[in-house]
Amino acid sequence: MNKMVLIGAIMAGLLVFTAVIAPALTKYDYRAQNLSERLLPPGARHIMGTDELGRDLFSRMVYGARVSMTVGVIAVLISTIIGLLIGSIAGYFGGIIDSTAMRLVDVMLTIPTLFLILMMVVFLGPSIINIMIIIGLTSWTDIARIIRAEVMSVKKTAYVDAARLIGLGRARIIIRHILPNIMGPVFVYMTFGISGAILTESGLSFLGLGVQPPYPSWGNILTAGKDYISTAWWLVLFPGIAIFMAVFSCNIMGEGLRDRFNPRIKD
Amino acid sequence: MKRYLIKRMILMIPVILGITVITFIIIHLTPGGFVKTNMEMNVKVSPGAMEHLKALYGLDKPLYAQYLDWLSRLARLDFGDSFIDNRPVIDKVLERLPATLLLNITSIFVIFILGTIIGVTGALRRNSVYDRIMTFVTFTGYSVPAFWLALIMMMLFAVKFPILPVSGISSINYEMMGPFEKILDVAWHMVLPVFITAFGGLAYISRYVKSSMVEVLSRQYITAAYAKGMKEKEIIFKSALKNSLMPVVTLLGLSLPGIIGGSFIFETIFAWPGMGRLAYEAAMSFDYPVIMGTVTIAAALTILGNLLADIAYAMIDPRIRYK
Amino acid sequence: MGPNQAAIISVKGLSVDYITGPVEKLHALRNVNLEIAAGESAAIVGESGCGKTTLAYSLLKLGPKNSVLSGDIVIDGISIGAAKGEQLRGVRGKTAAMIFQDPGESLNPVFTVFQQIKEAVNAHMSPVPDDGAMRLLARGMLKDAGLDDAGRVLNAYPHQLSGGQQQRVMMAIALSCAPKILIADEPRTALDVTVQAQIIKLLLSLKKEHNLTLALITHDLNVAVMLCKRVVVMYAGEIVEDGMISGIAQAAHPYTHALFDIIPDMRSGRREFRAIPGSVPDLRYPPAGCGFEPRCPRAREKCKRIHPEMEAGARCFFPYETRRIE
Repeated sequence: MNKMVLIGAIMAGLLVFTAVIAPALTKYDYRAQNLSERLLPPGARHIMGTDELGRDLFSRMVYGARVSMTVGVIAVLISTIIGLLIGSIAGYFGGIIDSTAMRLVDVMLTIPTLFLILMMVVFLGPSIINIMIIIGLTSWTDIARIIRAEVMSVKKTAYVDAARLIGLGRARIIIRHILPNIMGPVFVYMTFGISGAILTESGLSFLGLGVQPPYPSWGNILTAGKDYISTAWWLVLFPGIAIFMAVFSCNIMGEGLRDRFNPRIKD
Repeated sequence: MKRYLIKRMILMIPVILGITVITFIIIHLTPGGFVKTNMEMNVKVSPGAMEHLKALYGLDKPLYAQYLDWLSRLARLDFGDSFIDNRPVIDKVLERLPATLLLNITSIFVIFILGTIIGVTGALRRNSVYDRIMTFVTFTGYSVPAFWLALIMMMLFAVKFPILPVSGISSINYEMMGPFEKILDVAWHMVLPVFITAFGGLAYISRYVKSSMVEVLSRQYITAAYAKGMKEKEIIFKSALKNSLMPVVTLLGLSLPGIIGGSFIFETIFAWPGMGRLAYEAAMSFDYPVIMGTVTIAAALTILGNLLADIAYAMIDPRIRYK
Repeated sequence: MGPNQAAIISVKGLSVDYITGPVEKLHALRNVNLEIAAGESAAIVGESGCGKTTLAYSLLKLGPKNSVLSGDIVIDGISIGAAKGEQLRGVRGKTAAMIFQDPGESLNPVFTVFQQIKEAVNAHMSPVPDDGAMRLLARGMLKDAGLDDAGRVLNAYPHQLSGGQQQRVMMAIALSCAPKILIADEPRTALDVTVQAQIIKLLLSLKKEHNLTLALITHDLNVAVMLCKRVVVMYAGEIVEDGMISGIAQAAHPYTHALFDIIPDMRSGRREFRAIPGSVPDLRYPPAGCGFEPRCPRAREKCKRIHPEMEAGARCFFPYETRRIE
């Protein structure tokens, strides 16, 4: 199973690396239009070809990696923080606080997430910040549930009792003793969350509600290209493969990690 | 079983209330109040609709009164009228509902059948080449952006090899067909959308069936069945399968929001005349009443689906049935 | 076992390894030899992890997929190692039936008692009896197993029955095809004391009534000597003592002594749990000498180096004197 983590980590690492050193990789400005070089197929000058405005696709893809992955990571950080807060509070205090939190989770699980996201994007407007916040706001339930369960089981173990006897405050007990124990499962859900957020952003882009031009994201590059699908296949193929690779690498990493952290599912 | 179901239904009440609160909050989230935004953004709003809208949301009243109003209207399925054509939202949703249900229920059915087959065979031949390939294939389906795959498929089957219809729910000459031909025609139009939905959802179910089957096969009652001298086929497909599939019913209920949520992307791509496409069209034209209506109905459908899953679970699991 | 009695269970040189890693093996059974005559009762005793359950499962080839068997097992003339498919199926349940540790776990939770009796009978009977006849048959079986309200039990699901009732149902199922051999794996651990006593009584009477050969797997010497004249003691995957033992006076091996010592004394009311100090050796790395040596009060230097063989019914260089009636 560690092989899966490794393959996923290498793929994801490559993508992140590409995004980080983006300026060093590209000969062209991702915004530079060149109407005499419209819709060129991949070749020596433009290794991924050009788009309908004559922009270099490779440059746009590399900068798109920055945008797409930033959206993925920030959205997941937001949902992780929300999930950590709600989950640990619910799990630690129990009682009414817990059941209220769990009903809220039920509500979030019942509303089709994409509907909710679509609705909020329409109402708030599709800026990058809004999209990250909205995806974060709507995808914290898995983390909250896993945290809650972990906090409840860790709470029962002896050393937390010992910490309480020593007289540590509640917040300190949670932070010092419980959180380090639950980082494993949280990390698993974060990797799945990143892939989910990247997919969601590209889906929104496809509907015209994702990251808006002039910022390139894999989703909006693909969406702009779809009108030229029968003549300029590269405009659809490359961003699709990029999204797939990012999502796939996160998913197999998450899958491998899950098997490590959760011996029950291990097979 | 009655007590179990009653308990389930009581648990649903706060969920339903929660959904109404969230949709209500979102309406009021819009900076400057949404009627005002709406007036600025949508020139097509007729004065009549405007008045109706104000009355519908009672924007002059205090917040809690507005919420109670909204609630009582919801209870009567009154979502107001569409800004676009002034028809009642509920009518518009209801006429789109059958197409959405047809697509989603068929997809769930296909996912369930294929997921079970892949999961069970994978569990029986764990870590074999077959198992690894299937895991890879389902995982690919889980990771591939569905709309991208849909585009590629449309490209393949509409442009390169025009063998499958890629848009709509029926052919142009649908009205002139016989009843049997009509069914065939719709089924033919469903092939691609169902394939793509199922491909994406397969990993979730097949993985679950597999681990559930592996777990059940290690239980003592399975060893006991072998010790009785039962045939292996009977043990696997009767004794073990029933036990490992029961939790999947609940899982299907839980996967409903994801499938319904994904449907507006599919429906938009394949021009499927369903609720998802309606929601998308509404969103693009800032048709708030329709947006609110579709979200609420989609959530209600999910709740209904979960309830049905609970009932089905209670009926097939004797430990709940006789409690 | 007298020489003129034919062995219905014959185990020769049986070793079972569990593959636990790429190169790692757990040697669960090492060179086990055991013959049980038709009609005989033999108790196989030992602490958990000594290999007794592995032995019981191996008799019907029920071990997990990662286990590797070598040696011979012959049940009523059929070689189990080589048997496959229909032949193996014919032995399981028909020649030799088995009941398991936890009755609640060994009944399928989603089928009724009737369905589970029926599948056991159908596995071996042809033509398959119709439902009416089957019901009558099943009712009789449940009555034999001491279940008075057979009608209710028949239509019940396992979770609707008490632990004792579940155990009786298991016995009814085990005896449904009139087997010659009954292998009982800890048939009472999961039950409370009163029910345990009833089940033992039932087991005794069923054994007599059906003229069963009984292989009883238990960690409790008390039960072993109560039900069986012959006691086979296992330790660290080997048989360390085998003989007619009814009390500590007949026990030659120090391990058997230790097992007798920890039996709670019912009369004094002293019911606390006691265990032999120390723990069983790691069977991934079986010891060179005697496996019990580190825990043995009689151990000497020799025990550490040399692996003792079975001699006069015990695998020990320094056995206790016994007053054994051979």
